Amino acid sequence: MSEVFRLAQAFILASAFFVCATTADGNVPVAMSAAQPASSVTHTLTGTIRRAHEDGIEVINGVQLALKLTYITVDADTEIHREDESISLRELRVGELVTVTYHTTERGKMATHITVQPSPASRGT
Amino acid sequence: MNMNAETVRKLALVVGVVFLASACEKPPEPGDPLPGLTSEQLRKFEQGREVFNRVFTQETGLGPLFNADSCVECHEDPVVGGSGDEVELHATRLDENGFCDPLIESGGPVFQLEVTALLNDALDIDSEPVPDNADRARRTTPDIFGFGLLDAVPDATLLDLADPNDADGDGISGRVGRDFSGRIGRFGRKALVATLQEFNEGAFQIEQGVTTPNVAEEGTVGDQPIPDGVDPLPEPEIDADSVRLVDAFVRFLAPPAPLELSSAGRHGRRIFSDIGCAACHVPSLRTGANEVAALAYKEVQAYTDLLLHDMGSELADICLGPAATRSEFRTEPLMGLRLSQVFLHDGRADSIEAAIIAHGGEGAASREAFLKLAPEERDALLAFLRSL
Repeated sequence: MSEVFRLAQAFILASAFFVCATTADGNVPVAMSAAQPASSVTHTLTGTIRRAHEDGIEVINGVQLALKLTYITVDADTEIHREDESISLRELRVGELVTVTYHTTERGKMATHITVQPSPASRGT
Repeated sequence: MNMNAETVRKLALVVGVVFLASACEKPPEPGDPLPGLTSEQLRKFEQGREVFNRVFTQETGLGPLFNADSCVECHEDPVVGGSGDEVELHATRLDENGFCDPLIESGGPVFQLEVTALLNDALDIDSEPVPDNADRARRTTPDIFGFGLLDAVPDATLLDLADPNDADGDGISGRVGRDFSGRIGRFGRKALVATLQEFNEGAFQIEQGVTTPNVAEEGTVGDQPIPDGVDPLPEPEIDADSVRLVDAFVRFLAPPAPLELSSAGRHGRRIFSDIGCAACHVPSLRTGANEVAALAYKEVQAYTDLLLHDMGSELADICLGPAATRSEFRTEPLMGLRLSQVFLHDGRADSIEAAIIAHGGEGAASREAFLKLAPEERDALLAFLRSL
């Protein structure tokens, strides 16, 4: 019986952790392990670059006209791609559509990957 | 299997009764639910209308910045879900890179015109301040009849209708709107909003300052956080169930059935196509697969293509989002047009005729054709439009 209780307790704790991770900032966690610290939870965000900085980019997305600005920090380990080619932070352009995977660190939202999406114009619409 | 004459007569009677019953089904009045909803969907529609009518106070989540204290304060005429006489303020800025900045840090792109007493006491302001160098636009309240059907039109339909480079040479070059996440937009005057669910949920925060589970931040006031103590309720200020019910109410609102056409109205309908109005105000769209049977595979007489069109300098105001330039607007649906009191995105036209004459850009050729119509032809066209 105590084994069942322990299993149930572990399940509840794991579920609570998952719910907290999911709702922490409204973005979608794509990979996590209960054994890892919260900062290793990976999120994805798709939005439009509003501004590029020395160490990151500002990305806009949101619900309806309730828009949200998210600062994404980039470091040497961040992989940035456009059309399957590796590019640098400096090559990212204002107005580009990007999908970012990131995790939260003491430096903020740290990008692991940034992928530039094809522009609507290039899709002929 | 042989059927005797009596059985055939009975079957014919049953078929006849069923046919007559369906033929006599009352067409939807403004504010009615879609025909064919299940009892459970009708229950949600009614419950959603109650939330739609709910009046918020600063103690129950209103503000601290807001445009209205309930959904129905704006969507009220002639019935709940209709249009309203409120005009709100949007502002953006086209920056030096050619990027349309929605002024998020300043609280944009919607700048609320009301504040709660608590915020007024704290900052001594009556509305949200707008940055000096912003472009401003007025936006009227549209009715939201039939929006569930518009939401159910597949993206592929919009892509099929789009002709961004005017490949067919008809002078009309509609293109799809996009939101900041790259999705195809269809709601809002600049087609920035991709789904009806987001259109509904976002409105709580933007219009009423009521935060929701998916829009759980209040935003800022003039680049500064909301002062302590002026927003007493913790976020979110409305629960997910209430948001879902309002979504059900809006989603299940039927488009008002067009009035029966007179012979002049029927002539006007032909003129509508002949002078090119129907190139953008596409008379009918078809919905796709949908988990709600009442929304699936239906023809909706929307009179829109849900695309962005360049309306020229005559109507231009602000850019919005990654797609819409200052002069681009999404084709306004004309279903329920007869119920409107003012026309165009900013309400500048006080009649349908004035709205047609204000068209520029891609609509200029149709405007000129309208102006060349004989008086009786012009009356016929207006008779048709007043039937919608």
